[in-house]
Amino acid sequence: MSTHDVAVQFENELLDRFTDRAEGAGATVQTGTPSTLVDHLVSRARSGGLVISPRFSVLQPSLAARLQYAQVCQLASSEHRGHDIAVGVGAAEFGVAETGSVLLDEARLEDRLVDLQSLRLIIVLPAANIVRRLDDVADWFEERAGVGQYASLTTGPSRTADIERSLTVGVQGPAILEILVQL
Amino acid sequence: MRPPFDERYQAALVDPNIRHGLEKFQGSWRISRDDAIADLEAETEQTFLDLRTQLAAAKQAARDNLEQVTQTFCENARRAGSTVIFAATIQDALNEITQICARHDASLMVKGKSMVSEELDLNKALEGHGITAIETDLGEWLLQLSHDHPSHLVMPIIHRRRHQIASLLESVLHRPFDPDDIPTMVATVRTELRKSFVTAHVGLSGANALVASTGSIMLVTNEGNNRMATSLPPVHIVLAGIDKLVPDTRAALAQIRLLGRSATGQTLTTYTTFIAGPTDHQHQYIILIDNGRLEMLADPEFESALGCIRCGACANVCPPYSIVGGHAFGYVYTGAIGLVNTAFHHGIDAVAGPQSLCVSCGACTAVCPAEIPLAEQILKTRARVASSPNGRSHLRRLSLRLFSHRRIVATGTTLAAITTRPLVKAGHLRLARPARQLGWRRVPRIPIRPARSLLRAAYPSRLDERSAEVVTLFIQCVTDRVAPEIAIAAARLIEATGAQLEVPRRQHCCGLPALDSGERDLAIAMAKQTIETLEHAETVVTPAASCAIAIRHDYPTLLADDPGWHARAARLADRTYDLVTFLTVHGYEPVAASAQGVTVHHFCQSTNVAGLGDAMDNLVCEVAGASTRPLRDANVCCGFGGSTSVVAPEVSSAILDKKIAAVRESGAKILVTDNPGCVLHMRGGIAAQGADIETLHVAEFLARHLPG
Repeated sequence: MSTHDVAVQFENELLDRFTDRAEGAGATVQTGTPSTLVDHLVSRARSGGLVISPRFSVLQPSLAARLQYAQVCQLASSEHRGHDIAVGVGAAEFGVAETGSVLLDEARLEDRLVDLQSLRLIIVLPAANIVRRLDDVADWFEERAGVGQYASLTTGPSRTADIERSLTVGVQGPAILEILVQL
Repeated sequence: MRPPFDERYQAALVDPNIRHGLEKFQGSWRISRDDAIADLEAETEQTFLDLRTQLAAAKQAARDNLEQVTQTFCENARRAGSTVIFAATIQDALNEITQICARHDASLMVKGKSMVSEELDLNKALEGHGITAIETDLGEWLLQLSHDHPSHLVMPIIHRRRHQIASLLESVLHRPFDPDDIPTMVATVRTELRKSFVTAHVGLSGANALVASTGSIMLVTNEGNNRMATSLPPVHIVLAGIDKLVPDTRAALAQIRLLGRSATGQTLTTYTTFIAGPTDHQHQYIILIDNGRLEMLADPEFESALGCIRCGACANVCPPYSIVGGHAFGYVYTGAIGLVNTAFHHGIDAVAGPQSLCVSCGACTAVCPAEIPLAEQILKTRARVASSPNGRSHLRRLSLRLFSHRRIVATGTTLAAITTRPLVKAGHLRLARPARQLGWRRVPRIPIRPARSLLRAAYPSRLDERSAEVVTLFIQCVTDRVAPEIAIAAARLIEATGAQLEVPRRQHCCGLPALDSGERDLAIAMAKQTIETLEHAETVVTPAASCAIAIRHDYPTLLADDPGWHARAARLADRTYDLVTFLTVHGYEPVAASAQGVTVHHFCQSTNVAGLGDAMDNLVCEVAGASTRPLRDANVCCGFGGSTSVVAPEVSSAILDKKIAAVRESGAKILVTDNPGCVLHMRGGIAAQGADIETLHVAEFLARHLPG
């Protein structure tokens, strides 16, 4: 096997593991190329448009541009504060295969509004940014020492089991978490 | 701050919802938690024991270096724009919070779940200053609406059933709620609280960890309410105990790796959020609280309890907790950890009642992901209660002092045996008006001749000429006086291995009753007497698993302050074995058993403290050839708990009821166990219920299958 083959296999294993864990936590995971992702996002916009986070337009500029060109999205702003968002779109810094989590940088309030108030939250994650263990993202946090930050490892949609340990999905956060892995 | 313990205890006993809800909860939690831990072990290729040792070490490192770690945290948090404040006492913290609210003209606060805010009784204090604090975690919000308090660290309203919550919501929101439609009830928290999130002046959160290297707080939540509360309002206040400090992100990640799995069986909680400094529009204040934590830090017996990660697992495995719930089994902090830290946060009197419910089964220690020796620390708390002004009992001390004298006990039990002889029926005493402690079980008859008298004829007190290995038998006080047949059976089994037996005359009580009652000095006196009696021995064997554990595990700690005695205790500990271990190692030739179904209960400490596994089952099955039926919850305490059956007999008997139900379910006609205390407790309960099940010590069962 060539080095390239080994690398591809490793990446596939990571992706498989990530998918398995994320789905176990209640998220849905789909993979696609940028074109298929755009098509998917546009189809989700049919019921009233997407609200995209500022971080998404920074991490995924070409996706963001294509969505804006298709006129299906608006950028999150303070106007969204306190209002449910039907479909929100954000972008992950990393995915962690060990737990099926996505790492979201939410330093700006507008990023958080998308992550918090969307009923359906779609997160775009580049496959190459899936790491194996939680420890692998420790450095990302450490690099931001002494600087303001707000970042979350998000694992599945929001939930509670406070009443008789009976699980309900979708409380103060999204009821649906879709992860789109970009190949 | 809370109603008196007796009130809470009695209320819990009559509340049918608590027991039913907790039983369901504990069962399902155990399965999820075990799956999640097994998964982690496979993932990391390490055992749970290794992983928890690593987490404990990381938290210990922070405590060993607390001044430096705190300073680093403050520097980084301040660089990120936070204001960091120290509060030594509850009142100091309350003053800081009210001042912050005044500074920002705040009259409405939204709160994420914060146990420290409960410690402060914050909501009530704020009310007095005209500030409304609204809980936003679903469970906490429901509790607030019903003027109640959390009963569990992670599942705050687990003591209430769905129909109670439906009624509550109906009375508050004036519309009907179907108790079986839980999602609709949950949905109310989103709609009802949205306005509060948007209009609140202050958001208050706790912190699951304070990360020194980045100056950030780590917040762990499933619902997302904490994220709303820390993002939308213009002021964010963090309340955290100084025990939450960890050196770096890696340590925080090690914590969450075990936290979710231990708390709820999840791989991770939905949101693990790291926050450093305020967002642009915000002010952020971090209040670091002492309130007894520094005192704990300076106390070597309790210092390790500061490593608690608030997972609640100790409550989830606790038999008494499953009967009465967290309001009685705790104070503000609930479960085993509550029994340890309450004395430091709220005073020794606040923990006196709750700690009396602990049966010392060790299940909490076994499951704690922070490796805190909780069961041991609860016993140490008990000792402090026993010597505190309101906890002292002359009667208790006198009884134990009398009990520590072998001859007084001998005379007393002989007299009792003679005078109660007319009351004996079918091996038990019939008592006309049984006391609170006795209503639910039959009391065993006291034989005229104790075991030591029966054994004297056959065995010398001390063997100096030896032709084979000499085994010294330690009978145990209870076995000697109340169940001598166990000792006779043990003697026969030991002989069957080929050993020579000696039975020292001066042996008496290992001191466990005194240790268990909190009278540590009396326990030490009895321990010394036992060491003197046994230390000449090559090998000591006892049919009492509880005494073996006391000698092996408790003696060295009890005598730690005196190097001479400590060395003698350690030597004896090394040479003392419970009967099951001895028979397993030495082997003997039994006669095959009859086909009657047998079920096996494991003395709780045999599993949780001594790690004995299935040795007893092997002897019963493989060696004696009996067929065994599985026993549900075989390792869970039978409820005897020594002092618990005296001071809290309702809890003791409720736990016993569960055990007997499981025994009945097994369909076995013979119940076998390795500890005389369990034998008498279960035998008495089974007799009171009139069930056709014979309860035997494993020695009695095995001795039936000895040749001749």
